[in-house]
Amino acid sequence: MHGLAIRTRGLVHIYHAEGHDVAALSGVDLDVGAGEMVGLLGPSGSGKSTLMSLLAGIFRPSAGKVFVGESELSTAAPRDLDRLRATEVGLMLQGAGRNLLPHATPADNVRFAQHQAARAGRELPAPGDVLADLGIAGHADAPLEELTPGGLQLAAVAVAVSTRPGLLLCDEPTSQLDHAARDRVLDALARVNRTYGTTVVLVTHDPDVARVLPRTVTIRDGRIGGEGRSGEEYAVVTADGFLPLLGQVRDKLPPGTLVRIHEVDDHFELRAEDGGMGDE
Amino acid sequence: MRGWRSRSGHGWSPTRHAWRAAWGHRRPQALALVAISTLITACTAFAPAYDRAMQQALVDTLLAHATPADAAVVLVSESGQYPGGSVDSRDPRELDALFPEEVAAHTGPAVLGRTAIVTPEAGDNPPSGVLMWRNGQCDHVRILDGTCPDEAGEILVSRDDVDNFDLRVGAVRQVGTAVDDSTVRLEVVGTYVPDDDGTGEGDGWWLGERTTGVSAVVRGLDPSASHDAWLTVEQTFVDAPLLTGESSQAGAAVAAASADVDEVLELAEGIRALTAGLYQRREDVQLRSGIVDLTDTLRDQVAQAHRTVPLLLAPLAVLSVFVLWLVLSAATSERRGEVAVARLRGRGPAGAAALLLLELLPALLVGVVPGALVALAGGVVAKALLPGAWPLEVAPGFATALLLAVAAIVVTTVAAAARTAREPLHDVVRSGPVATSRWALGAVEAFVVACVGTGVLAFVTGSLQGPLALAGPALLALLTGLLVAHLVAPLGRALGRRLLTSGRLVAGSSLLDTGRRGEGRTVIVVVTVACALAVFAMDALAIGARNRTVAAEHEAGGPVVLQVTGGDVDGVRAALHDADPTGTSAAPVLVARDTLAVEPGAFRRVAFFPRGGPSDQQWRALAPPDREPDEIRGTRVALEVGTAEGFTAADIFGSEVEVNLGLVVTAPTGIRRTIPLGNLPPAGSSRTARGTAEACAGGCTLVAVRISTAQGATVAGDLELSRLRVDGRPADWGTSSDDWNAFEDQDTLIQPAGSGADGVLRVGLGLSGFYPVEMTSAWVPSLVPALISSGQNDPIDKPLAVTGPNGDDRLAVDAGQLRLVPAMPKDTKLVGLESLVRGAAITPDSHLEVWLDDDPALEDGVRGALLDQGIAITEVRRYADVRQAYQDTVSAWSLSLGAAVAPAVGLLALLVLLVLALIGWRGRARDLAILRLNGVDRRTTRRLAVWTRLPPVLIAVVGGVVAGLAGAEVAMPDVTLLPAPPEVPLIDLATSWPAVVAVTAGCLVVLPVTAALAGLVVVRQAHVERVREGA
Repeated sequence: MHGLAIRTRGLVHIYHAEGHDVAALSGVDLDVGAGEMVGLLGPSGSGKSTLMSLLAGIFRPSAGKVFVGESELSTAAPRDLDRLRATEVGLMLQGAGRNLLPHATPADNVRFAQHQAARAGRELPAPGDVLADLGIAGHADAPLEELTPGGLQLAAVAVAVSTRPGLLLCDEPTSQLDHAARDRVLDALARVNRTYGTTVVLVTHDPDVARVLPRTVTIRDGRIGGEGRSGEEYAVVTADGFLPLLGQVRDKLPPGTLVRIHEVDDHFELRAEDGGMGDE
Repeated sequence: MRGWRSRSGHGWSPTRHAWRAAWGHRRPQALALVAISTLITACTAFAPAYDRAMQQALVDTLLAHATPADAAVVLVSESGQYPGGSVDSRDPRELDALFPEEVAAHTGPAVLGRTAIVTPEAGDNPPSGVLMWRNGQCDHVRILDGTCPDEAGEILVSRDDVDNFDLRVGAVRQVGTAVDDSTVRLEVVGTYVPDDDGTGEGDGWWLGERTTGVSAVVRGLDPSASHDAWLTVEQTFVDAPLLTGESSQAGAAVAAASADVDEVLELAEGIRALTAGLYQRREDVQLRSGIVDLTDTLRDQVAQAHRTVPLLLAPLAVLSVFVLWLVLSAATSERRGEVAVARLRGRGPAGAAALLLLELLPALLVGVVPGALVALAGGVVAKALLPGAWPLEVAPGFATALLLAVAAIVVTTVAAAARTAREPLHDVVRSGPVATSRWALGAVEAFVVACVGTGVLAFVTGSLQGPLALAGPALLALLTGLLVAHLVAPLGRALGRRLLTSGRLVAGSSLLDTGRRGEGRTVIVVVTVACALAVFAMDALAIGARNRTVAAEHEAGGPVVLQVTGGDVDGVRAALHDADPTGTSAAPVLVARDTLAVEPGAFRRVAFFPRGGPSDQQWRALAPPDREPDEIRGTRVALEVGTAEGFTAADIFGSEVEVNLGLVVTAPTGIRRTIPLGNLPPAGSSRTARGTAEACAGGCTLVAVRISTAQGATVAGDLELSRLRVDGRPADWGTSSDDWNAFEDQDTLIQPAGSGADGVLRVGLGLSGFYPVEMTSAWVPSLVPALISSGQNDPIDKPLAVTGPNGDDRLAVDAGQLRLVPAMPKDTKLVGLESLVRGAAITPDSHLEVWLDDDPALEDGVRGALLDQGIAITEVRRYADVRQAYQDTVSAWSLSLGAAVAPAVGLLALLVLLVLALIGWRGRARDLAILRLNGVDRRTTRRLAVWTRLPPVLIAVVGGVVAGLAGAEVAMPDVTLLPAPPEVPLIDLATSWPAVVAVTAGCLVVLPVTAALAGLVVVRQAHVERVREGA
């Protein structure tokens, strides 16, 4: 099993609200390689969850294209999207309860999630094994009400990975969890990524979570605002030539500041016209 | 991490999950769904069960009330006589063979018979009567003396015939035949009485043939005699020459005790076919039966039921399905999270819908079973309540109705599940539905409102015809509910905000919540429709009962009505004086075609005036002239008669004609006689006119002076009458102009004149028309005061007239209007008995009745007193019987459904309140918990939980009652209240306020209390920990 690569080009999504439209994404170009584990960061309302929904085929983009593996989601038929979610894409919504049938046990939830994939001829792990992999085999047949918040989240992860998807999308998988539970969830996601080569994309607000991820993508105002790789922060030049400024530089260059960019040897120099600071 | 495994390890069981979810976790909700399904199924399946029960009850009632002759099928072959010979009637066995299987299958064994009219040759007053043979006749009579006839010529006679005609055993009579002078010898071998209740009609076996009760001897100027049926053997007919009116027959009675609707309908079809076949084959056989008429009545009344029953049940069914839809919408909406999970796991809309259906549908289908049982139990209850007895059965349409209910439940459930499952994925994955704070009428709702509004408009303007019109009240209620629900939202929010601003937390929050939650709108729509239907159903039930009472009271006239023989008003009065000395409980009444003559004093106390009776002034206006009559007591009458100079009497050719004079008198028994006094003397002369009056030996009343001559003759001049003597003695009689009535029309002028001080009655005559003419005594009203039933034509050029006791018109004067004259058809008059009978003969053109209170002792006394006066009772009419007859009609039974519909719709409204509370309790409990967390005290949260639920319920109850009243106002004219349209204006469609108030009070108590209790239960679940739910 191989992970699925993600590629978005010029992704735009507009919400049509009462009397006015809101652009949640304004041209997102993102590439995630197969088997990568990527965190989506950004302030509330920046468009992280919208991007996640577009990657899961829940929304269709207002403009642009979304590729998951070989599938182009913006034009895929509903039936194909259903099949994709049944087999290739696992999605965890924010709040464990929203991912589980409330009156089924963890094992039954896994069985329910696997049902379509099994009908499609996929070879799948036994539900007990899935739960055991995540350390909650002892609660396989317990009512969900008896599980701790961490246990519920692990059950949600188990359901999401039970079909061994090529892409796992997780929206705030560690929110409202204590540290121990958070670490168990992150560990489980990392193991899925490492063991099965599943591409994992997760949305998080938590800096501690972001810190342990090999790659983070920051969404700001509906655009890619930067990337972090191995602890280093990078600005990303967009396809139309925009270069968003990273946090500490933005503070020093308020909106309206005129800057001049000079190419100096092997690097670029950014200089404010009013005599302000210049930077690389 | 472990490796991949085989797919054989998967074991997702949708059924197990559905069972756990429905029964393990949402048990109250599942039970509520079972209850709704039960109710829908019960209502749907009860309709054919009740319809069938009504038909069976009607058949039993009609057969029970039918005469034995009507409830039988009889083929009759009559003999015939012609100048050249005669034709015998057929052998009864031939007639029996004519019965087709479809008729024979539904009747008892055929009774064969022969009948003729026989009269003994000898005797001064020989009795005529029936000679009959019926096979097996001696098993259906009780032989008092002698033996059953065995040989030709032997007869059994009745006990009365023994007494009246001395027909003892051994007596022989020769009776005539229809041919030449031959006779037949009949010998009495026994006496019998029929096995019956004394009516003489025998039991059903005799097929209505009257065997006894006919024997009588009438003496006098025109003597006659009749004998009861003489029973003989068939051989008597076979051996004898053709007898007078001889006929043969084969007849069979319908097995009334076991006949059901289908059998009777099949029998009627068989009879129709048999009749048509006999006609086509030109058979000389008559078919006599009342079954076809009976089935026509059955069909008419069933057709009425098919209008009234849907009027009550169709809205209930629609409301049930609507409630089911609302409950399912709420239930599927609550499961949006599960739908989202299914869709995220690649199920697609169909798979998500299947998940919902697997949980919801079984509970609903389980409810079909108790629903069917409830419907069957309802059929049993209906069978117990309705008259008649028929075997317990499953109504023919029962299975279809069950299938219909199941189809409605399945279709509604699938639609509700598909509605949620087909929502866009991004909507169902949201944490919850987005509540809009803006008032808006959705496209679908606008369409529904427009459609319903159009229907209501068509209904109110009368454009909605036929079955569609039956939906009118429900449409009106639905429109009211929808509009109120949509108006309440913005008004509730606006008022709620204002109250909150002024610091009134509970009231403000309650109204705000009413405007904010869709649940409130649902409650308003359902409760409005339910209350409207309950009000309409109970109002219709009460109006129907009231109108049946009115109709029965009008038809019966009084509690007990005895029709009596003869025209002896004074005899009846004397009898009533003996039986009812106070004159308050029994009244003599004379019925003459379109006129009811009564004695106001007693009649107004005894008779029914269901739509209002005459006023005191009107009663007083019916009184006769306050004068004493002139009496003639003796047999020889003499009167001095003179004509004035210039008195002329000429026929149409101008030739002089004789003019006859007479005095008209009446006897107490209602007989009117004229005492001829000969011709008038020539002009200017006088003479003593004499006449005899044998009937006046005991006293007569002088009521008129009669003048007659050739038709068309002209008589003019003055006449003088004086010195009336009876048996040689001067009679006391009035001679002033006040003592006699003047009369004038275009052909006749009779003008009494003078004071009479000289003992001479002077009369001016100007006659040129029809004779005789009469100058009536002032004791006789010249115009009879009459109360006229409303709606009569009253042409200006036609004088008002009432029918006199002799059937002739009597000029009348309008004494006022009366809506209904008791027991009389339309265009009738109510007059004073004394006014009508003074001076009039009472002939068979009218008949006398006694109206009395329903008091057995009084009735016995009246019967005895009448018999003492020699007055027989021919017919008895009782209000209780008439009322029961109206009760035993399909129109009454179908309206009785209102008593079931009202609780059913109330139950539906209750279910909706409970189900919505069950479905939304978590959210409400969490809201209240948040308030508690923010410092709101327990008492306030409790008040909030209760008061939040009350505004929609209270508003809806008021709206529903108003809609129900409006629906009744418009729809009631189309509701069949009586088995046949009345020809008099007795229908009263006024709202039955006691019924409406009772329903309103019930709704105002039960529904708000239920809503408040649900609120209290929710507030008990509002723990602070609940705030974390849904996080």
